[in-house]
Amino acid sequence: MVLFLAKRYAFSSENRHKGTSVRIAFGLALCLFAITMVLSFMQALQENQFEDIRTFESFDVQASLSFTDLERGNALVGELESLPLVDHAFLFSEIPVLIQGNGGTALAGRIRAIQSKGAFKEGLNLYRGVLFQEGMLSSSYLHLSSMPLGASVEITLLKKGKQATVIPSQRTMPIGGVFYTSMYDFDSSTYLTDLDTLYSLNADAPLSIGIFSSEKSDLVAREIRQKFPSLEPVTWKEANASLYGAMQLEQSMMSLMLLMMVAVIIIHIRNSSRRLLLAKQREIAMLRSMGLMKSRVQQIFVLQALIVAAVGSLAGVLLSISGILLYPNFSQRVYSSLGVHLNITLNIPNLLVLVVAILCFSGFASYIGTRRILKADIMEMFAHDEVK
Amino acid sequence: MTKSNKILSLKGVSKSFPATARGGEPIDILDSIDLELHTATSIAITGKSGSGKSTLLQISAGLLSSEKGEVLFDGRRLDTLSDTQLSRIRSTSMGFIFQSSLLLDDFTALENVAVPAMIMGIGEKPAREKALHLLESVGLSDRLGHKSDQLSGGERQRVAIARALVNEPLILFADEPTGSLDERNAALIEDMLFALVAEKQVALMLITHNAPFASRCDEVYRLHNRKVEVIR
Repeated sequence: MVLFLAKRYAFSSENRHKGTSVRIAFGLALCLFAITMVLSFMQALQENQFEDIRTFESFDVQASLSFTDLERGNALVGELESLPLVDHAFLFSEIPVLIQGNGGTALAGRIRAIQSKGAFKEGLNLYRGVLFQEGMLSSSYLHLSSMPLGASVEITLLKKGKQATVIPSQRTMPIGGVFYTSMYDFDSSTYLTDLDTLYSLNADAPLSIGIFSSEKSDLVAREIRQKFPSLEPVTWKEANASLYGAMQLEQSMMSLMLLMMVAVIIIHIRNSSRRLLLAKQREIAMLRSMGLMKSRVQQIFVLQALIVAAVGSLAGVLLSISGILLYPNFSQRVYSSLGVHLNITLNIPNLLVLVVAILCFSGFASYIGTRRILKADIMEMFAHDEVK
Repeated sequence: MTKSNKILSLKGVSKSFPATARGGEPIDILDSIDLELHTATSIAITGKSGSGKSTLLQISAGLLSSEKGEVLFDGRRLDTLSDTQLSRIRSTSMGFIFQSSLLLDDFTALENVAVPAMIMGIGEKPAREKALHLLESVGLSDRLGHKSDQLSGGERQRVAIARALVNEPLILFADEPTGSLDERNAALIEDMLFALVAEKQVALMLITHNAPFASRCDEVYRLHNRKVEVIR
């Protein structure tokens, strides 16, 4: 009997207030879809940014070396690569420079010399020429007009002096390759070369080791610290602590905004539930006069609210899945505005939490609503004007 | 059932409605009403509009609470019963017919009659069969699938009678059941009501201001100046 009446008061075509149920379910579906998509996008954007940072900027783990001997460094790389948690280890070094290309424009940046391996090698795209040629620099596609392939650029760098601490030094070097990556900041500020060339520019450039690992960077750093006490490994999170903190803050703020969206859903459920119950007040009085217990009335309308919320949530989940499946077709069109290809995925635990929260609150709102209505005498309920 | 066959008893029942929010004095409606109703008998309460007839019926049926006095149904004080107990009594022993034939708008005539049976615990199928039988007995076998707004006033009232009788109650409360009907339909409903009450041996408490209709009851009372006067 409870199910019979609850179904009738939810979506039955016999129900005069079916439109209200449909509107509630539709509202829930849209809210759920909006929250899911915002969450997925936010997560994908962050992951994309972190991925770029880990690939090009600071790698999973890095450690500064106290020496500049490349042979000793390569031996250490070999030892590190034998560790089970390390996928790739490589030497790199970088120095700050001012580079003047065609037209006399000076750009501040850095020259990075690196043994290209792992994710870095895979993410580095060659546009023209050959990368890492001895005695040559590679610049990014962003500087193609001022530093085309084959052009000579003037490099200004600071070197250790004999009398002064540092002295400026200038060298001319040809552009042997043009590259591009998915990270704008890296491309705009970085010039690539090999380690021998860099040390020919500045023999005192600090040498470091970069590490890629598919395991958690904290674990990798801990293992290195244990096995190589002389090294002080730094994870990508530590190396980018301020950026990581800012992004964490951004995530917290976004979660706060999503909580506000959930609050909007809750208000929507509460108002809709109240409207639906008020519309049915006279029928509740009739059912009570026929001998239906208060607890049964509550069961009927809580079940009805759960049916409506479940249909709305299901529609929201289906919309979200469709949105995520269809996004790759759509992403080409928005690529120019977003600047990145995002792999958005459905966060199932978050979605489940949202659905459960919607169901719980719908049931609760209906329970509270009916309890309030049922406090009145049956005849008072009869006297209530029907809400159209 | 008690040996005296007394099914309903009102002792010193008083009721007043509180002053409105705009002010004014509380309105006294009923003052120390004593009334008894026995099984398979019918009583009519007459009186002017606003004399408190409907209020008396609602208090008798436990739909409204009184300030003073007690209402005993089958020897049990209604105001001391829990919601479960009172609901059970309404479901199994009471039937209601209201003036405006309040039907469940989202349900067909057949479902309107079947729902009280389902509330009593009868399964959907047997409840529908029972409802079908009763609707046939009130001449509505061709209106089973019609909803409230597809039925005429007389047809709605006949559905209400069938609904009130579906659980074979001990007492039927009828509040101006012909009040909103034309003369021909009113006569039809009167005849049908008394025929079914006699056939099913149901006690009837009828509220009406129609004297000829009231006179068909075993006892007739008049509500006047908040008191009940015996007419017959």
